[in-house]
Amino acid sequence: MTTINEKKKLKKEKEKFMENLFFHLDGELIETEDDLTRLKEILEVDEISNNTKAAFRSAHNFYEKLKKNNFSITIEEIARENKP
Amino acid sequence: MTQLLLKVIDDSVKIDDFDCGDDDINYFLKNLAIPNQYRKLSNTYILYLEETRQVVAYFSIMASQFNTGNARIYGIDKIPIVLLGRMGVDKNYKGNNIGRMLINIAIKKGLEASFLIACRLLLVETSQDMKSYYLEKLNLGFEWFKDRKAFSILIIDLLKYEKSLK
Repeated sequence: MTTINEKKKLKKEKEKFMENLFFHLDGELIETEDDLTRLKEILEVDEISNNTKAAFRSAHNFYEKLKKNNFSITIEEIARENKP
Repeated sequence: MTQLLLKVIDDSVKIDDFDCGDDDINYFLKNLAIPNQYRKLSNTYILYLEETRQVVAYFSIMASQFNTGNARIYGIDKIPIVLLGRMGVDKNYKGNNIGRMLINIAIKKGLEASFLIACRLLLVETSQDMKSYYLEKLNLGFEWFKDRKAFSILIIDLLKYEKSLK
Protein backbone atom coordinates (compact mmCIF):
# COMPACT_ATOMS: atom_id res chain seq x y z
CA MET A 1 0.00 0.00 0.00
CA THR A 2 1.47 3.33 -1.04
CA THR A 3 1.03 6.10 1.50
CA ILE A 4 0.22 9.71 0.59
CA ASN A 5 3.72 10.80 1.55
CA GLU A 6 5.24 8.09 -0.62
CA LYS A 7 3.02 9.16 -3.50
CA LYS A 8 4.11 12.77 -3.06
CA LYS A 9 7.74 11.68 -2.97
CA LEU A 10 7.31 9.62 -6.12
CA LYS A 11 5.60 12.52 -7.88
CA LYS A 12 8.42 14.86 -6.89
CA GLU A 13 11.01 12.39 -8.13
CA LYS A 14 9.13 11.96 -11.38
CA GLU A 15 9.04 15.73 -11.85
CA LYS A 16 12.75 15.91 -11.24
CA PHE A 17 13.35 13.11 -13.71
CA MET A 18 11.41 15.02 -16.31
CA GLU A 19 13.89 17.82 -15.77
CA ASN A 20 16.77 15.49 -16.47
CA LEU A 21 18.01 17.50 -19.39
CA PHE A 22 18.36 20.39 -17.01
CA PHE A 23 17.72 23.40 -19.09
CA HIS A 24 14.81 25.48 -20.25
CA LEU A 25 15.97 26.25 -23.76
CA ASP A 26 13.48 24.26 -25.76
CA GLY A 27 11.74 27.45 -26.84
CA GLU A 28 13.04 30.24 -29.03
CA LEU A 29 15.61 32.43 -27.35
CA ILE A 30 15.26 35.39 -29.69
CA GLU A 31 12.06 37.05 -28.56
CA THR A 32 12.79 40.73 -29.20
CA GLU A 33 14.86 42.92 -31.51
CA ASP A 34 17.15 43.59 -28.56
CA ASP A 35 17.78 39.85 -28.21
CA LEU A 36 18.73 39.64 -31.87
CA THR A 37 21.01 42.67 -31.66
CA ARG A 38 22.69 41.26 -28.57
CA LEU A 39 23.31 37.87 -30.16
CA LYS A 40 24.70 39.47 -33.32
CA GLU A 41 27.03 41.55 -31.17
CA ILE A 42 28.33 38.43 -29.48
CA LEU A 43 28.75 36.50 -32.73
CA GLU A 44 29.99 39.19 -35.07
CA VAL A 45 32.10 41.56 -33.02
CA ASP A 46 35.61 40.18 -33.30
CA GLU A 47 37.16 42.47 -30.74
CA ILE A 48 38.22 40.71 -27.57
CA SER A 49 39.06 42.78 -24.53
CA ASN A 50 42.51 42.33 -23.02
CA ASN A 51 40.85 41.21 -19.82
CA THR A 52 38.93 38.46 -21.62
CA LYS A 53 42.01 37.40 -23.57
CA ALA A 54 43.97 37.13 -20.36
CA ALA A 55 41.17 35.12 -18.74
CA PHE A 56 41.00 32.70 -21.66
CA ARG A 57 44.77 32.25 -21.75
CA SER A 58 44.93 31.71 -18.03
CA ALA A 59 42.12 29.12 -18.23
CA HIS A 60 43.91 27.37 -21.08
CA ASN A 61 47.26 27.30 -19.29
CA PHE A 62 45.71 25.97 -16.12
CA TYR A 63 43.99 23.17 -18.01
CA GLU A 64 47.17 22.19 -19.86
CA LYS A 65 49.04 22.01 -16.57
CA LEU A 66 46.29 19.87 -15.06
CA LYS A 67 46.40 17.57 -18.07
CA LYS A 68 50.18 17.25 -17.77
CA ASN A 69 49.68 16.15 -14.16
CA ASN A 70 47.23 13.46 -15.25
CA PHE A 71 44.32 15.47 -13.84
CA SER A 72 45.66 15.18 -10.33
CA ILE A 73 45.76 18.28 -8.15
CA THR A 74 45.76 19.25 -4.50
CA ILE A 75 43.08 21.38 -2.99
CA GLU A 76 45.71 23.93 -2.06
CA GLU A 77 46.78 24.23 -5.71
CA ILE A 78 43.17 24.66 -6.79
CA ALA A 79 42.67 27.48 -4.30
CA ARG A 80 45.91 29.17 -5.29
CA GLU A 81 45.68 28.85 -9.07
CA ASN A 82 42.01 29.63 -9.57
CA LYS A 83 41.76 32.95 -7.83
CA PRO A 84 39.48 35.26 -9.85
CA MET B 1 47.89 17.80 1.29
CA THR B 2 44.48 16.75 0.01
CA GLN B 3 44.94 15.09 -3.36
CA LEU B 4 42.09 15.22 -5.85
CA LEU B 5 41.53 13.69 -9.25
CA LEU B 6 39.34 14.73 -12.15
CA LYS B 7 37.65 12.27 -14.47
CA VAL B 8 34.41 11.38 -16.18
CA ILE B 9 31.97 9.80 -13.76
CA ASP B 10 31.67 6.05 -13.39
CA ASP B 11 30.50 3.73 -10.64
CA SER B 12 33.92 3.43 -8.99
CA VAL B 13 33.45 6.63 -6.97
CA LYS B 14 31.36 7.44 -3.91
CA ILE B 15 28.51 9.87 -4.43
CA ASP B 16 26.05 9.05 -1.64
CA ASP B 17 27.43 11.59 0.85
CA PHE B 18 27.70 14.43 -1.64
CA ASP B 19 25.83 17.51 -0.46
CA CYS B 20 26.21 20.90 -2.13
CA GLY B 21 23.19 22.35 -0.35
CA ASP B 22 20.94 22.21 -3.42
CA ASP B 23 18.54 19.26 -3.65
CA ASP B 24 18.26 19.34 -7.45
CA ILE B 25 22.00 19.34 -7.95
CA ASN B 26 22.47 16.56 -5.40
CA TYR B 27 19.68 14.59 -7.05
CA PHE B 28 21.22 14.87 -10.48
CA LEU B 29 24.57 13.52 -9.32
CA LYS B 30 23.09 10.66 -7.31
CA ASN B 31 20.39 9.56 -9.72
CA LEU B 32 20.97 10.80 -13.24
CA ALA B 33 24.63 11.49 -13.87
CA ILE B 34 25.70 7.86 -14.36
CA PRO B 35 22.66 6.74 -16.43
CA ASN B 36 23.06 9.87 -18.56
CA GLN B 37 26.71 9.05 -19.03
CA TYR B 38 25.99 5.52 -20.23
CA ARG B 39 23.19 6.79 -22.48
CA LYS B 40 25.39 9.57 -23.90
CA LEU B 41 22.93 12.24 -22.84
CA SER B 42 25.40 14.26 -20.82
CA ASN B 43 29.00 14.01 -19.69
CA THR B 44 29.63 14.50 -16.00
CA TYR B 45 33.13 15.36 -14.85
CA ILE B 46 33.84 14.71 -11.22
CA LEU B 47 36.50 15.90 -8.85
CA TYR B 48 37.08 13.30 -6.16
CA LEU B 49 39.39 12.52 -3.27
CA GLU B 50 42.14 10.13 -4.30
CA GLU B 51 42.22 8.44 -0.91
CA THR B 52 38.52 7.79 -0.28
CA ARG B 53 37.10 8.21 -3.82
CA GLN B 54 34.47 10.55 -2.41
CA VAL B 55 33.16 13.01 -5.00
CA VAL B 56 33.57 16.62 -3.85
CA ALA B 57 32.44 18.48 -6.97
CA TYR B 58 31.08 17.95 -10.45
CA PHE B 59 29.77 19.53 -13.60
CA SER B 60 27.79 18.18 -16.54
CA ILE B 61 27.97 19.26 -20.14
CA MET B 62 26.10 18.26 -23.24
CA ALA B 63 25.58 19.22 -26.85
CA SER B 64 22.58 21.43 -27.41
CA GLN B 65 21.28 24.21 -29.60
CA PHE B 66 20.45 27.86 -29.37
CA ASN B 67 17.07 28.18 -31.01
CA THR B 68 16.81 31.55 -32.75
CA GLY B 69 13.37 30.83 -34.20
CA ASN B 70 12.40 33.09 -37.07
CA ALA B 71 15.45 35.26 -36.56
CA ARG B 72 17.81 33.28 -38.71
CA ILE B 73 21.48 34.05 -38.33
CA TYR B 74 23.99 32.88 -40.92
CA GLY B 75 21.03 31.17 -42.61
CA ILE B 76 20.32 28.88 -39.67
CA ASP B 77 17.81 28.96 -36.86
CA LYS B 78 19.68 26.72 -34.43
CA ILE B 79 23.20 27.59 -33.39
CA PRO B 80 25.18 24.59 -32.12
CA ILE B 81 26.27 25.04 -28.51
CA VAL B 82 27.78 23.26 -25.55
CA LEU B 83 25.51 23.53 -22.55
CA LEU B 84 27.04 23.71 -19.11
CA GLY B 85 24.28 22.11 -17.08
CA ARG B 86 24.45 21.00 -13.50
CA MET B 87 27.39 21.98 -11.36
CA GLY B 88 27.97 21.67 -7.64
CA VAL B 89 30.63 21.73 -4.95
CA ASP B 90 30.20 19.82 -1.70
CA LYS B 91 29.54 22.13 1.24
CA ASN B 92 32.66 20.89 3.02
CA TYR B 93 34.89 22.00 0.15
CA LYS B 94 33.44 25.39 -0.73
CA GLY B 95 35.72 28.40 -0.51
CA ASN B 96 38.61 26.77 -2.39
CA ASN B 97 37.89 28.15 -5.87
CA ILE B 98 36.77 24.69 -7.00
CA GLY B 99 33.72 26.09 -8.79
CA ARG B 100 35.88 28.45 -10.82
CA MET B 101 38.22 25.61 -11.70
CA LEU B 102 35.34 23.42 -12.90
CA ILE B 103 33.93 26.17 -15.09
CA ASN B 104 37.40 26.75 -16.44
CA ILE B 105 37.61 23.06 -17.38
CA ALA B 106 34.10 23.06 -18.84
CA ILE B 107 35.04 25.94 -21.14
CA LYS B 108 38.13 24.07 -22.28
CA LYS B 109 36.03 20.95 -22.94
CA GLY B 110 33.66 23.14 -24.94
CA LEU B 111 36.56 24.37 -27.05
CA GLU B 112 37.79 20.81 -27.63
CA ALA B 113 34.29 19.78 -28.70
CA SER B 114 34.14 22.72 -31.11
CA PHE B 115 37.22 21.40 -32.90
CA LEU B 116 35.52 18.05 -33.49
CA ILE B 117 31.92 18.86 -34.28
CA ALA B 118 31.72 22.65 -34.51
CA CYS B 119 29.83 24.45 -31.80
CA ARG B 120 30.01 28.16 -31.47
CA LEU B 121 28.93 28.95 -27.93
CA LEU B 122 29.17 27.62 -24.44
CA LEU B 123 25.99 28.51 -22.65
CA VAL B 124 24.96 28.43 -19.04
CA GLU B 125 21.53 29.15 -17.69
CA THR B 126 21.94 30.35 -14.16
CA SER B 127 19.67 31.65 -11.46
CA GLN B 128 19.49 35.42 -11.25
CA ASP B 129 21.31 35.45 -7.95
CA MET B 130 24.31 33.66 -9.51
CA LYS B 131 24.49 36.03 -12.47
CA SER B 132 26.93 38.43 -10.86
CA TYR B 133 29.10 35.51 -9.76
CA TYR B 134 29.59 34.48 -13.39
CA LEU B 135 29.87 37.97 -14.87
CA GLU B 136 31.81 39.83 -12.22
CA LYS B 137 33.50 37.49 -9.83
CA LEU B 138 34.66 34.62 -12.03
CA ASN B 139 36.41 36.68 -14.69
CA LEU B 140 36.30 33.84 -17.23
CA GLY B 141 34.90 35.69 -20.24
CA PHE B 142 31.16 35.15 -19.81
CA GLU B 143 28.86 37.58 -21.61
CA TRP B 144 25.30 38.26 -20.57
CA PHE B 145 22.72 37.43 -23.19
CA LYS B 146 19.35 37.87 -21.52
CA ASP B 147 17.27 37.35 -18.40
CA ARG B 148 14.29 35.09 -18.68
CA LYS B 149 11.91 34.33 -15.84
CA ALA B 150 14.07 33.43 -12.85
CA PHE B 151 17.12 32.70 -14.98
CA SER B 152 19.91 34.49 -16.77
CA ILE B 153 21.41 33.14 -19.96
CA LEU B 154 25.15 33.66 -20.14
CA ILE B 155 27.43 32.85 -23.02
CA ILE B 156 31.05 32.25 -23.87
CA ASP B 157 31.94 32.64 -27.52
CA LEU B 158 34.22 29.66 -28.18
CA LEU B 159 35.52 31.31 -31.33
CA LYS B 160 36.81 34.25 -29.31
CA TYR B 161 38.36 31.78 -26.87
CA GLU B 162 40.11 30.02 -29.73
CA LYS B 163 41.37 33.29 -31.23
CA SER B 164 42.70 34.41 -27.85
CA LEU B 165 45.04 31.44 -27.77
CA LYS B 166 46.69 32.24 -31.11
